[in-house]
Amino acid sequence: MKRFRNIGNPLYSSIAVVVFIIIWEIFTRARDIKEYILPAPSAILNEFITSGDLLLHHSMVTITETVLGFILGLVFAILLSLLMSSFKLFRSIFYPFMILSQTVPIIVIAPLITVWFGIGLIPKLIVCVLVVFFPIALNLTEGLSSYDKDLEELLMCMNASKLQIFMKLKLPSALVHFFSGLKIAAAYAVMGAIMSEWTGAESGLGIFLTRSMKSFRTAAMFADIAIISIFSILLFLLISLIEKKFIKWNVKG
Amino acid sequence: MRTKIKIENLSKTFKAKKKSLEVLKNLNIELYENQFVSLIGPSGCGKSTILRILAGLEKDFSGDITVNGESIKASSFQFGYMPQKDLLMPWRTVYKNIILPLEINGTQDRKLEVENLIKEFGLQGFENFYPGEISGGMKQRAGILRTFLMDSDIMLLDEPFGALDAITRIKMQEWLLKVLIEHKKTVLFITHDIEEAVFLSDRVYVLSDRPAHVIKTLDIGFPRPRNREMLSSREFLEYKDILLKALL
Ligand SMILES: Nc1ncnc2c1ncn2[C@@H]1O[C@H](COP(=O)(O)OP(=O)(O)OP(=O)(O)O)[C@@H](O)[C@H]1O
Ligand SMILES: [Mg+2]
Repeated sequence: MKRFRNIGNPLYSSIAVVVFIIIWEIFTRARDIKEYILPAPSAILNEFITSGDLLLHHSMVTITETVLGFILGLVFAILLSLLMSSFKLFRSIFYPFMILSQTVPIIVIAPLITVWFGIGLIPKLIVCVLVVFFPIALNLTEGLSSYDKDLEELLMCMNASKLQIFMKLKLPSALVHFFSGLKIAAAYAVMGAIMSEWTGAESGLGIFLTRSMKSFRTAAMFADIAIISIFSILLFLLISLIEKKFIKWNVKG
Repeated sequence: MRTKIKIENLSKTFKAKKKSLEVLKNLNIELYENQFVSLIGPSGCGKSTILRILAGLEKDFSGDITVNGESIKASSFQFGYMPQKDLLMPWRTVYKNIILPLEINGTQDRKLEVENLIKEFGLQGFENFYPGEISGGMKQRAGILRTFLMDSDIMLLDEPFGALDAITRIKMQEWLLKVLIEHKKTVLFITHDIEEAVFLSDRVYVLSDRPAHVIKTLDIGFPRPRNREMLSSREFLEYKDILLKALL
């Protein structure tokens, strides 16, 4: 099936995962490995059942942070890219800053943001926006200037207005770049939210992870990690699905 | 016969930072109404540049060009211009590509006419394909149809069949002649294929190496409509010979 072409054949990878889990289960039982070192898959599953409510609560917090932060970052990135590709001056002023801003690792900025904005939702959103915005803005700006100049000339021969050239040429040409930016940004958004929780928060999957770590509840850590991974994958798949809707012509590469 | 396009003493030099390249020098070309005129010349001699100047994409040139008696510097005449690359938009279906000029002019109420043209151009059944999914010949047809819908009685075609295999090419040539005559177009056509030039044209201009100027003007006396049998006639070979000698 072509729908999943980006991540290979889902059937084979699913089988591989199942086999891996079975081997894992057998291994931990046979060697009698301590649960705080490496819990068996069954222990992790048990954790999902016993701490279900707790996990759900923390998940909702992180998911909210991630999704809101992602959307905000997306809007911000689109605005900035549109400005940068419409006004040369704007671009030459802000593009270097945009690149430079990425040389400061966000992980050293996150504590500062917590100092300024406390431990609520706002600092999480800010960190998310900061990490999300760059890959989207960079790809979109790149994409918006990657159009075929000969096509632009042809449109000019047809007396197309600037707006028409933008809508019919520049925007469609940018879509492929834009979506690859979105996919990177989705992974960053999850990371951003969790990192920001670590610098100060009351709840969230990041907090649950560190708490479990401190009390040696390794099975709970695994459950937490599993949720984070699944959430990341779903986010990625959702974006791929939307991409499919928009980019029908790229099927043949 | 009415003169459609008159190019007098056209010269063009490309100026890059330090280098400058003289591409056209005192070029004179004339096209009458409903005439099919071809330009042939060595690769890189400036053929495409001539069309780009006509299409208004190169503003900086010297000489006089009039279309329908009006200088093109003053008027904003819209040609049906088809560039050398096929330039279909990969994200648009064949149909959407074709109607691009209509979309831009804001005229959308010509469905029936477009449908008929699609049939005439042999593109029916392929309307919803993407350019990546159709053959080279189809792409060229779609490109020519899009040029048609630019609604000009003058078509500027830059090597439209350059990338096609010999068989498809001959079919496309016959087809093009038929379509153009039915629609009463004046055509300025670029090719570097001598046979193609003779078969299609009322007149052939042979251009020199850069800086290009006309080194030979040849009127082709074959009647219209033309057919493939002419390709092996003695006259045809003579025309070919004259052009070949001029080029070498
Ligand atoms: N914008 C430009 N700036 C500088 N030089 C150019 C430019 N456009 C074309 N040239 C040069 O002008 C010359 C003529 O180009 P042109 O495309 O008109 O040739 P052509 O006869 O159409 O060639 P071909 O048969 O390969 O299509 C070439 O040497 C080309 O490198
Ligand atoms: Mg050319």
